[in-house]
Amino acid sequence: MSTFLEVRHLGRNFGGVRALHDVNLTVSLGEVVGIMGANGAGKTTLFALIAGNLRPGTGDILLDDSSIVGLSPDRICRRGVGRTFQTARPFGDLTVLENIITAARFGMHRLDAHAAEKRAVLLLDIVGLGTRRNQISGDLTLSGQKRLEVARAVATGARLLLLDEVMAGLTPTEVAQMLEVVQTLKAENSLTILIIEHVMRALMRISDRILVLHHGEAIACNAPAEIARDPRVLDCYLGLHA
Amino acid sequence: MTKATPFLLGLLCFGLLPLTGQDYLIGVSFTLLTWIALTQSWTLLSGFAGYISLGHVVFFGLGGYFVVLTWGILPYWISLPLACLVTFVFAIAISIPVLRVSGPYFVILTFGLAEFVKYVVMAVESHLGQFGRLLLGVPSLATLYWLALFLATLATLITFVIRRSRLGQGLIAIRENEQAAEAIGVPVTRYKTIAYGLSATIPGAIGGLIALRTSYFEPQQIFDPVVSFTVLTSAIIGGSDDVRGPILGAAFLTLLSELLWARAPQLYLILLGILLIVFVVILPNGICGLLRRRAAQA
Repeated sequence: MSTFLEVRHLGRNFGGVRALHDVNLTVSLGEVVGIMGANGAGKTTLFALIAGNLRPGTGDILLDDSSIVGLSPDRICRRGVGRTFQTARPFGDLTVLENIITAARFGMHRLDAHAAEKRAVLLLDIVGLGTRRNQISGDLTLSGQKRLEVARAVATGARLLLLDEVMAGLTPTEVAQMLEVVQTLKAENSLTILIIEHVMRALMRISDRILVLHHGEAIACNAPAEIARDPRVLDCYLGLHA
Repeated sequence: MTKATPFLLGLLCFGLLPLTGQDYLIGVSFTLLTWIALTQSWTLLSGFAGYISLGHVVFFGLGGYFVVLTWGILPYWISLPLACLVTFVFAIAISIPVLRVSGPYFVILTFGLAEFVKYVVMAVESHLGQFGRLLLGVPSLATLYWLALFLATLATLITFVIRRSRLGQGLIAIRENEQAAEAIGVPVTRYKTIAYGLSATIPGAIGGLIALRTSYFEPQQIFDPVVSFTVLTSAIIGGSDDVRGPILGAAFLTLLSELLWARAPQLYLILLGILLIVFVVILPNGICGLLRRRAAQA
């Protein structure tokens, strides 16, 4: 498989705090890479750097072999990167359908109003919000808002999806539904996915590989089964070798 | 009956109004039309993108000042469009620092900017030895009325078209969540700048019209912050997310003002404040927002 995203020696400090240091990652087209680490490990900082919300202090980020460092978030989105936020940020006063239509009208393909609505209806059916399309999105449950965010990110025509804790706070049933939603969207839209998640069972199930961050450094990147018995990971997470 | 029918009927009524020959009625309608134009233009940035401006009067005042300065040099049919251009250019020039802030800081900054420009104009006038300018040979009320009708219609059309355009959708996304809007590909900085420039354009000509209507110019009067407060209140009462909102809000406030000015003019500002509080607390999206939410729940 060809390389789609390449992160080279990425680093970022906040004042004296080293949030990310010398992180390298190569993601192939169609791959799902899980990102795990304790709070403050640098997971969301990595997303913010890829999505253009922050500029890296060191290193480079290549999407399809061309650097996206220094581009604004909207331009990075138009290059095919869609993201969700750790805390759901729906366009609260708009209906569920309007949220998705807006994303489809911008993003990569800038669809016209008719095509955007058609795409939005399709996506809402996949994420299970088809019957709630006319509901004000701010009134959705947490699970609904998370699914809406995923659909909105996909509606931009994203090729690379950055999912930031889309299963956090969900019940086991809702987690199972979200896993199914993400897998369906991936299959139907040929997506490459980076996913931050604390729900380990879900992360293990969905990921092809998992990158483990610890104090801003990548300590392991391997298949889920390998990660589960990696002594460095076990040490950091469970203190087994302490 | 289409959605456009009430607008077309309203336009027809305003078009036929001068036939009544009643100066009072024409004068009140002129005032109403100017408030509609001002509120519609305010809506472009503040209503759609959520950058609440408390200094809309700055464009109104600058446009008026330009028309006054060029009075006797340029005919009004040239100075009024030029006033639009002046305020548009002014808005674009100041947009870079002004649009870097948001929320309450933007509110305070726009208010401060309007006051700053007012005092600069006062200083210039004082330096020139002017303590008020009298404009002689101004156009008739009927002429000004037709111009106000044209500007109010134009402002309403611009708002209507933008609300349905990609630009409008992007601005609303910015209002709802700027970071999320950027994440879905909305060119936030460019859209805000365009909206700010457009929102400043019509008020330039309206300021000129008001200066011609009063045939007298005084900086304190034309840069009066009450203009900004009234525009804001109109938009909040009517709702600023819908082209009908500014019309409803402006009509409500103009009628209220007309009912009160002869008997209790001091009551007008008090009522303005009360209405603002009531609507912000109970109906933050105005009458149109209430109708929209009911329709969505149905």
